[in-house]
Amino acid sequence: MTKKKPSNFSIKSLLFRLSLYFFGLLVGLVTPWYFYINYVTETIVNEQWEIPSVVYARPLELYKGKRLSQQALQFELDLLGYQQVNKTPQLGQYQRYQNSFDIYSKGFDFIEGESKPKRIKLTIVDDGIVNISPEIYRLEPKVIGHFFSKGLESRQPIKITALPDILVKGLQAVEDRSFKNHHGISWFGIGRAALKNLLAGEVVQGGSTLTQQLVKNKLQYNQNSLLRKLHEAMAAMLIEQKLTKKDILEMYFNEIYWGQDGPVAIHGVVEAATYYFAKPVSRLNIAEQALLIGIIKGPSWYNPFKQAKRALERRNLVLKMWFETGIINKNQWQSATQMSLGLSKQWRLKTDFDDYMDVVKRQVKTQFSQRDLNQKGLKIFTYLDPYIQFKTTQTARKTSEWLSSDVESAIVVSGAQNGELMAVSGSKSSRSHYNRALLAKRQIGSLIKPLVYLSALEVLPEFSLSATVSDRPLSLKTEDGTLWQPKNWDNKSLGDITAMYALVHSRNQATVNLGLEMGLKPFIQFLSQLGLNIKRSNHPSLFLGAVELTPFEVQHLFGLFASRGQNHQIHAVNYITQSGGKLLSQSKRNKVQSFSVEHIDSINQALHLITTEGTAKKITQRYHLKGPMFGKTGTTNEGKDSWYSGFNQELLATVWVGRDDNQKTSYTGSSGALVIWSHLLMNL
Amino acid sequence: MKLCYLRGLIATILILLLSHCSQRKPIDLNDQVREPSEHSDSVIQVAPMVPEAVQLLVEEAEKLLGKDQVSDAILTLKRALSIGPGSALVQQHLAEVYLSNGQYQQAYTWSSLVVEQGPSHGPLCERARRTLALAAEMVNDVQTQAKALESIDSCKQMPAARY
Repeated sequence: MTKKKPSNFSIKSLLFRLSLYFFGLLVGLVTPWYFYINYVTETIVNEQWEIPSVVYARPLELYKGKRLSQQALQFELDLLGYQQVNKTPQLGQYQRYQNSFDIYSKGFDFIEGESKPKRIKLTIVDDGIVNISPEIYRLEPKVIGHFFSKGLESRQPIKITALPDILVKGLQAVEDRSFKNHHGISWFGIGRAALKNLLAGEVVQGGSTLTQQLVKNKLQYNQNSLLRKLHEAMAAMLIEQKLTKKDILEMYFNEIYWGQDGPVAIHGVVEAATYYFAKPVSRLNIAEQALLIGIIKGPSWYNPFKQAKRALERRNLVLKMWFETGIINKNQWQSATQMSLGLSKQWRLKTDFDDYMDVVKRQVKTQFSQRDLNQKGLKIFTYLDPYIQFKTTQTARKTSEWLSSDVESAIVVSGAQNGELMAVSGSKSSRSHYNRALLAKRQIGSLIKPLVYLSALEVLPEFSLSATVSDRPLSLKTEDGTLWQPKNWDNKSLGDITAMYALVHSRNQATVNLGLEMGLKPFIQFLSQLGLNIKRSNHPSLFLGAVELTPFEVQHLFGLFASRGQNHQIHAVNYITQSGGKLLSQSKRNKVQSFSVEHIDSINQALHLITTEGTAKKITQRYHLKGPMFGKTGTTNEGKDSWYSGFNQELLATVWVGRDDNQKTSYTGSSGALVIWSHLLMNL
Repeated sequence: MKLCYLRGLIATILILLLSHCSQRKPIDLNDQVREPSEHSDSVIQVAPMVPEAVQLLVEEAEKLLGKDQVSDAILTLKRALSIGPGSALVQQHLAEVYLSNGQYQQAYTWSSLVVEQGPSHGPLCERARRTLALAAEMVNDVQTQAKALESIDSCKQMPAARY
């Protein structure tokens, strides 16, 4: 009998089988996993950020003779995140002594030249700058909105060379001291963290390197599993092969999550500096840099707006680490520790730019695709005046208080002479997203009368406002066979009156009689020259404003009078640049149909008389608004719509009041919209 | 056949000649607009009042224009216009910058504004009319060009004759 040699054979066989098994495992699992991770890192390395377009308000110009109240200047400075101090101001601070301001501006890179940070000293007397040094300066414009892509991320990339040295070194000192030496993962860091966690009995320290944190941010893992850690470690090692340490740091500063501004995630150091301090990164002081680095560990746990004490302790701990590692000296450490958090107040100020942004979107979308707006980091400079917008919103909020709770309001404000759109309010309520200023088409009533008289001046050679018109009853059979008998608001007919009197006192019968003399067709032609396309063009009620327009469209029309015929286009956007600074587009003046300045001046004379002795005399007699005022009231049947559009030398504002369901109200143009308009101008 | 070649040749020459005629030399602001207007001998010289800040910005725009930074000059003038809306001086400078930059329609619009609402005597009055005439010529509006040229004389208020 021969003995078997099973042991030898089976060991060999087992080893062979095991080898095959591990080989299979390697080929089947690890290789695809490697390729997957390699693919992921390639994506990270080659990823191009989607940079949202930024929308700016107008920069506040400061010069001798500028009309500016102390309140308005203080509002602007607070909005821009300046800190008020009681000593010589440093960058981003201002000192106020009675009516004198000493401001250390932050500067801004405008396309036509940099506005460098400067000390500005100025004095305001009677709502005007009486002296200023330097002679002219403009503050940086406030960011009023973004065009985001999906995910609502806010970010502006920056080169690592543009970051303060302390910030770059300080990040490594706090988050990853062996960053320069490891290859993506730090065994020493992991061991130290494991020991600390073991001693504490819970997770108190993470061993992730900066590269791992970057991967974690990019891949947005939500769980803390072992597989995730393996993914992270593998991807981190591969990224270290593909990028230099400098590139990794730059990517980290541009990628990392720094907090949440409502629905918008703050990513990257540029946005973080703007959000927390309203400053460019290069101008952050040591304490501010330390706070930013401290926040990274837990942006919501150390949220300085909500957890000031916790954030301050964390900042001071960071400062101590920086001192211990030699990044800052003892003096710097001590003085930075003494500083307050220095947060920008801007997040607390309730200003509502959404309604204005609707106009910007509308005007910009005609020039750029949504994709360009979302991804190309355009800079859109608008004419929005934050203080006037704030006051406009505040005024609209009081609609219920001054009138009644069942009516809504819409307000549009622009520069009287240049058509620059300064403010928009689409509702009295912050909860309403229906922008009535842009979308609510309502009958305009007597607001059309100045256009009827201007048209008559242009069309009828012998006509002037001193000519006689007939304010007598009239009865017209319209095309649909009905009888139309317009009446005056007081149910009286005054007989022969001057056209000036008829316009100032808003006489319906006189206006229709004049309109009929001129003819509907020439009037419709005249309106089309102003950009109004009238569809229902066969009814003489058009002479009394039976045409539906939005408050924004009415603003365009009255721009013609406010600018003495120069302008009837209201612009929200001044100019647009690429993120690199190249000018892409700027507002242009279109050739407008020119009307006789003499004729427009005649109408303006009537519009002025309306505010002193006509339907809007409340402006001067009850509200005592100073300076020459011009305007026209408008009321539609049963007070369904109450309008006032008026201007002075500087501002043109249109107010509409009415119900969303188009039901009757108790208001006329004079008792409704005019009240809101007058309060707005009194508060500016 | 030869006749065809000849016709073709003549047509080509004509087209070349015509295209040469339509190519105008770039407009020289100083030669064609500013200097002739500076020598206005009108007894009434209107220099519109502008805030100091506007004057400073106009000067800055001129410097930028001198460095060929045309779009920066335009933005600076628009900044000035925001401070002094309706300023005929700024509007005229804008018209001139647009004219020198070949944006004739914009030059036409802005100079029309100055002609309609700006001063009716003195150098600015003349400059506006000269600019409008050149811009109108470039956009083939012969009627406006002629009217603008004719009205240059109205900017001069001559001294009353002595007997």
